[in-house]
Amino acid sequence: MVRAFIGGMMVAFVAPLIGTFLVIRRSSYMADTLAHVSLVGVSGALLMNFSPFLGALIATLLASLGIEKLRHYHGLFGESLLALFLSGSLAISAVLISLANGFNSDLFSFLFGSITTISREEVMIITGLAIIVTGCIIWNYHRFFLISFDEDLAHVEGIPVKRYNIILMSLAAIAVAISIQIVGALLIGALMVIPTLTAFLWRKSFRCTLIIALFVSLFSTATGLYGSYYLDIASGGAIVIIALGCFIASIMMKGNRN
Amino acid sequence: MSIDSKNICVSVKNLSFRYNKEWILKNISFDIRQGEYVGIIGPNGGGKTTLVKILLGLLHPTEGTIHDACENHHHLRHRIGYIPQLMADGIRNFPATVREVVSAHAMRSWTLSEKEKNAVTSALQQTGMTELQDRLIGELSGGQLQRVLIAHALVGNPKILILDEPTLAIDLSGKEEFYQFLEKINREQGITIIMVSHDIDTVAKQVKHVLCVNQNLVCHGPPKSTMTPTALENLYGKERSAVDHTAIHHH
Repeated sequence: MVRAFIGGMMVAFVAPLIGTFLVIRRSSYMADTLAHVSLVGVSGALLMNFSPFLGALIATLLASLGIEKLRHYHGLFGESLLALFLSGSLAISAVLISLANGFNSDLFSFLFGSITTISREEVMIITGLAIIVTGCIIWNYHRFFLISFDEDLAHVEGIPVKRYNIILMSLAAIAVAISIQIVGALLIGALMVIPTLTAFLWRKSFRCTLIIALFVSLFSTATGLYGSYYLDIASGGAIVIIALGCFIASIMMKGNRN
Repeated sequence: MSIDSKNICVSVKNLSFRYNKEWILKNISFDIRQGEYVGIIGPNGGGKTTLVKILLGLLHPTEGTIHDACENHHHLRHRIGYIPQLMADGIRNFPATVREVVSAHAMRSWTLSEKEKNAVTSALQQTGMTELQDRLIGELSGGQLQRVLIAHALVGNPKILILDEPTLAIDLSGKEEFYQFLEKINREQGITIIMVSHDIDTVAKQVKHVLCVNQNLVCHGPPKSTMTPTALENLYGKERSAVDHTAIHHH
């Protein structure tokens, strides 16, 4: 439980940091797409007997680079590309799963999250990667802010927009890969998006939005993991249900105030 | 600050731009002097936005060159302040305050240095946005939001301001005030202003030099002598010129 709690808090910290930039750039679908792509890595790794976490990391990084390349160099529509990667990766996962019977229980934990499967080494890797992602976001905060505000304006002010788009998407890929065991591939998108949307309802400034999103994410993950442990339910489901509860409560409170 | 006739700020020579085998701009040459107030007009699809994107360094010309007095185009870009169009949902729904948007030009890390803070405070004062600095930009009027974008640009101490259709999201009463503000920046700080506009009446009233672009540079010079009925007819076709040139000559 302690290992899961540490890993969960790391994931809860990173998810809304990335999620805020994805949501304001209207790329919320990106998180879901990368999460589905991660299933290819997990299925492939389970089939070939190597670390599912590593498989997910490789698959999401390659997909994020592929999506950015196709978007920029071939002028394809962003949303259609995400649909292409999402459905394509689901198809590949289905084929890989059907090729190998016997890892259904493992796969369930990667789909919906499980606190029992996380090892000490994995917690260390998750912590290390979470620190790297957080450091990159803080270091490049002004660049990501300006690119999200207006890409042309950022370019005119000397920011290499393509490079930082690739960096942001790579960070999103890492965030998805480290989240998959705690929250699950099908629910990581929700943890990136729901706390941010909740924070948007209370926004007073960009930094305030980030801080509220972090608070909602940490609260949802802590209580979700606690509930998951004592009620023996899927951790990802519990975390996302609590995040959804925060969003609905915020809507109702804002509705009453307005 | 007066315009120095020798002090050429931007010099465009034989500029052409081709996209998918189609020429968008052909053989365009003009000079812009430091402190000038320039309007770019022309019909939709005539290449105004392409010309601006080339000046901004967002597109590269297929042929021709852009130079300033002593530096190449790459350096020119770093002296430009750009005011993008206010898209309906994009910038308006961005969850940031006035101060955060203005600060974004100065920031080199998570926080601002004292020097950067002073530049931001000064830009807010110059644009009259100090009292609204903690407001979300989504709560501002179109004119106020344009001032925020100008304040953002001023933090970078630009020599040239390029504005793309700046009054599209401003109501009629706010337009006059906004143009007065631009004229004040141009006059008091000597910043060169290049403004793309559909509104040829306003361009005729405000700017000191007009560039009429429709694939080629149809005409250019001071509005009164340049925007003649014949020139506007060449630029827009008969129907449009008949409506607009009367307004220009009343002015």
